[in-house]
Amino acid sequence: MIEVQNLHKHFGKVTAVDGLSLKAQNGSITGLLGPNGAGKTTTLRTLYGLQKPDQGQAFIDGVDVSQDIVSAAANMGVFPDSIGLYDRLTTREHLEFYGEMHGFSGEQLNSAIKRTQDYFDIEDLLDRKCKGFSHGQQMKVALSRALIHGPQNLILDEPTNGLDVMSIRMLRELLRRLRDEGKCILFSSHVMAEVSALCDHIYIMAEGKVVAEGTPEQLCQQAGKESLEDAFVTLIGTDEGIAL
Amino acid sequence: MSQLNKKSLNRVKAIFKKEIKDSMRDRRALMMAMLPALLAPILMTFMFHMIAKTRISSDELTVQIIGQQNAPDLIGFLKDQDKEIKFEDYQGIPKQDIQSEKIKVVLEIPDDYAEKFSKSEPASVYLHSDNSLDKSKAVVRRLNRLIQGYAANIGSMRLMVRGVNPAISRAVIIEDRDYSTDASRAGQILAGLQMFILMAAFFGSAPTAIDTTAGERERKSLEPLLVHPLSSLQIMLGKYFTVVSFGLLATIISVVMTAIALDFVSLKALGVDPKLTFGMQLNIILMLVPMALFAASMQMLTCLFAKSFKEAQSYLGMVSFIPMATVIATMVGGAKSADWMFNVPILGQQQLLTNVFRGEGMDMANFATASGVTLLLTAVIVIVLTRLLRSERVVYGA
Repeated sequence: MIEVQNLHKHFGKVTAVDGLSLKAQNGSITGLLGPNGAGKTTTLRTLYGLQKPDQGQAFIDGVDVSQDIVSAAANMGVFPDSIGLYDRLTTREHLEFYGEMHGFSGEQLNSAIKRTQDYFDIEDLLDRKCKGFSHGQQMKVALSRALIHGPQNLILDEPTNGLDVMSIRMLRELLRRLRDEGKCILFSSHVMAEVSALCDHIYIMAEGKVVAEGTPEQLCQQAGKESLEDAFVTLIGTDEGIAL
Repeated sequence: MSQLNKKSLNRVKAIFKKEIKDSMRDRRALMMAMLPALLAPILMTFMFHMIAKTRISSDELTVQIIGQQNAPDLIGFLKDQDKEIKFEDYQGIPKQDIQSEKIKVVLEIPDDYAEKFSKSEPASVYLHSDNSLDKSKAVVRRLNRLIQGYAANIGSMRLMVRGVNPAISRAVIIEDRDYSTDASRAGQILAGLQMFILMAAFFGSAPTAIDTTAGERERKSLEPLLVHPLSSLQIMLGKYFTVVSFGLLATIISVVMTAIALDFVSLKALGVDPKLTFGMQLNIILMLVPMALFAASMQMLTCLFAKSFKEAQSYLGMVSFIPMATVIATMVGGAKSADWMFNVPILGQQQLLTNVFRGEGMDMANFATASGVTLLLTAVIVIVLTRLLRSERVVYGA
């Protein structure tokens, strides 16, 4: 479970997050939808402990991130907004390295790598150096990195950015499967179609605040609109910075 | 700072292993790091060897001579006094041949020499040369001295024949004792060799220092690394030891290469002939370990503040200049070795190095002082590095 309580963060005079609270349940996909600059990335970075909030707290399975980032990180898989692979290392070497970062070794490490292969087919990428990988291939490695330790919680920052249709389909299937396994998934997006196709629960963000939340049906009711798309526009007040 | 138990040390080791693997695959950077250590001692020694050789070959001198038959006694004296001088009979116009650099020095004994000599009148001989050429100058100087000596000898004999004490004619004697050239040149040679040994650590660790800090940020792999369950100290130590090991490797290479290069040549003609025995090499490596640790920490600190790979590179250029400046300052500035110097990192090591090169050995007290100060400062920098690693400024450049 992922929880954020009354989060505040500003950079100089700009307020990035302004009293935001959210909760992502196990066995559910939670979406954070908002235009660029709404504070989505800042919120997520606070969750994985790389940005200190001015006020408020973030919890991973009840562990306060600012108190014990190491324990929190052990139960969290992260797909940050930068993929950041090492050009000169192979996929297998990446997975070995990040497995070791979780404290795995020997047989435990091998089975962890096998488990990620179960999620998607990276057989042909395993012993290739990452230099020159396509965006879709890079994403597979980055997702394997996030899942190597079988985390209960998965946080993804704009995971569909720059992906081709095949990769997006693959990602959707993966996230649904993880949800069905009882994992807690939180992802951010500025693409409406993504969020409406996947999410069980949606937070709509604008200017650092949650402007609406609920299941897709609840959001439609709240806005008094038939389609989710119209509901979004009504709730945010504009469709600027939101992609269909 | 969290305590380091075995499990957390495993992660330090894993980071170290991965960084080493990654760096070893960057062949170009690796070459950049190790080439100075490998080649500089050879080039440097070779250069000095060539200088030494030109001085030796100026000793094997050939003098063109006109009118040898006019002064068999003088020529006999010259040959007797200086076995290296070779005389060649010469016919031609000295001025032309010297200016076209066909020949260097011509000793001309005119036909009236014998006549004047036997009448005890001053008999002239002529030395033709181009004085702007260093090699000719040395030859002329030698001939000059020899002929003066001959003249003084003959003069003394003439006085004795006339019943006069020859000493009376020598009002002042100059005894020339020249220490300058050889001594200062020897100092320059030692300083040059030392400079490259000192700089090896900086060259060696620079590419990895950049790659593990500014490079990691530029390829955006720092953020994904930091979301793993490990402390900043673990990450920093893994990276730091990688950078240090390349600096140490370069240092060892440069010391061994210097020793090998010096074994192959003789610099005796330059008034110095340093040899590094195995024991001296071990001493030098030992004294430079703290400096390599210090260099790595300094470089990483510099690179952590750089916005990009390129920026880090230019910053490091300046950092690597420090040991060079230190050596030049003590060499050109002529600063005398003083006790306080051992309290300054790099300068302290340079002083230790100078002592070993001079064959004075390594003073344990000075070694302890220099190493202690250097290690203390290094520890402080590593703590600062650890603190900075997770700061928003470093991770996101905010």
